[in-house]
Amino acid sequence: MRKLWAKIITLLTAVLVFLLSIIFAIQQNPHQSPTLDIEAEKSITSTGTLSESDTGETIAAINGRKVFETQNCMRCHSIAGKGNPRNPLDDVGKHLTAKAIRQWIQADNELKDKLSTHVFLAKQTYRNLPDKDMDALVNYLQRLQPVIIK
Amino acid sequence: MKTTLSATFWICLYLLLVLAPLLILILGKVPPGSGFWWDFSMALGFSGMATMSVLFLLTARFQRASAPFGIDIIYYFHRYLAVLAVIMIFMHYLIIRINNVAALGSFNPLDAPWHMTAGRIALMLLAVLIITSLWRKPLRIHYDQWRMLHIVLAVTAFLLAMGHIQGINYYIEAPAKHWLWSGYSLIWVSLILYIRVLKPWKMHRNPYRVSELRQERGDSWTLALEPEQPGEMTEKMTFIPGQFAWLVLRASPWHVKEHPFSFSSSAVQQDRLEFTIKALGDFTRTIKEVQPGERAYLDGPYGIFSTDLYPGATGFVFIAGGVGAAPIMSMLRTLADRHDPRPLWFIYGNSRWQDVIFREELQILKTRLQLTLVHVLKEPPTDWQGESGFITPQLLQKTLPSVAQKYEYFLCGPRPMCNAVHQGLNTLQVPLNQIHFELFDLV
Repeated sequence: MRKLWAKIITLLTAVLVFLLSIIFAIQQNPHQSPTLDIEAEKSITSTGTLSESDTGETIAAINGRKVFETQNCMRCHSIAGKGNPRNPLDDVGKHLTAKAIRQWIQADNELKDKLSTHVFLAKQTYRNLPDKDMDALVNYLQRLQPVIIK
Repeated sequence: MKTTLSATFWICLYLLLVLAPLLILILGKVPPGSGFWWDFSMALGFSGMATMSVLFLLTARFQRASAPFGIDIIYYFHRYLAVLAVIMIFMHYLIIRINNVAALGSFNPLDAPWHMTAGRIALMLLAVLIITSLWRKPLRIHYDQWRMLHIVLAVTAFLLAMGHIQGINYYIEAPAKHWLWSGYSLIWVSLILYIRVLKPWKMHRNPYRVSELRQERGDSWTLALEPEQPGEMTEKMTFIPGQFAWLVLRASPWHVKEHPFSFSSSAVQQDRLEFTIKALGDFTRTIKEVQPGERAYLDGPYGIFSTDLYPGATGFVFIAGGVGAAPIMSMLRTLADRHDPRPLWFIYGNSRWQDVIFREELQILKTRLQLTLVHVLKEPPTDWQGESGFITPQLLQKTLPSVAQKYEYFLCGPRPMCNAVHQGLNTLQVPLNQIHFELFDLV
């Protein structure tokens, strides 16, 4: 009898936790986000390799994408739904200049008040990124322009 | 009524502790959503951690909180809830792994941030914790070593998981969440101090001496303890018949070397406490080496397996197998000392006649009580006139009074026997709330 009660209360806990978790997830996401097609993302990831027609900017963006991946940027940021959705970068190229993107990547001191201490310190490690990689990364992020698929 | 109210209060408090992070997430101010599966995963992760905090509370053996349920069932609940907590925490990880693997970053600890590595190690430790707990016996892990391993794994996994939450520092930035998780951490640190420092200290202040070690039938021993300094005891242990205590022998109370045993002596004589122990496991096989005069410590009493909790009962039926008779003897001896006139039945299953513990004393108790004693032997001698085989529903029907539903039933013995007897009592239409178990095989 008591063992049965212990099982019932465990089951009740499971039901309540899963129910409240679902309520929270639905409450947080009332509308399905429109599907984004990131043009730059598409042009880069669909080919995978460089072709003779690729311009210098495309090559830089492809390299930038590689830096984005190797530096584990997707742990904190997402592009086209891939990576941490907390901080999407889908339209970063639309809102920030190349200079501003660079400042945000390496957490310039003037951004200290806009970032939590934890994030501010974490981002400072990117100050050691070679110039070539930083340029490529900025170039890539600047080219991100979302197109909403109807 | 008082017990029901108390049980309801503790269950509500438990649910509040487990669900608090989710309620604050739903009702409080939180950052915008990040997709259904992402937020669902985060909610499960927080709930898993809150449940883990409660798991520590369950093993603290708070007498007031465990009284309405019985500490044995609290430990079973701890086991069920631990499995649920680990499922929630693994689902938290797996949902992200399936839905958005890129967000997990590098697996290599040299590249990954410390809090992600902390989360991964915590997952691995939790897996080891569950496997070693659910399958301790098949894995042949010694009980004392398992207890130490269990504590180390649980504490390390919990600390690493808290580090993971603090390192990510997302939802907990909200003041309410921050205070909630600080509160959980505070409860947790206080618990460690209570369990590992304060409680052993209280035990240390109330030492006992082994006054006698008596050999019983069936490779069993009765260990008698008396307070070392009766007059100076700060807290005298007062048990009711059928209860049990955790016994520490040949170790300090600060060592994690304690084992639960039922009192077998009469509750009328509280100055001399007896435990009857069968040499079955790693620790119990060493009982015969104990010498009178050795120091012992006790943590207890615990349990709700007692005739004293049913003062209005018209009679009692006891069904035991082997050394399961120990708490039954405590109840019978107490009832005899109190000259209780109520009708009693004791169906006692054993393998061999020569191994029946308390055989001679039970005959004497028959003269002091209205006791119907039925021995059931699996391997009876050739001239055996009594019952043989197992305690079956048919045997119960034959032995028990026609109005079986009138009485309270106490079952203690091997699990297959208890399950069979339980089924038998169901067929006799004995209400479930009149059947009482002592669940000793905790791990």
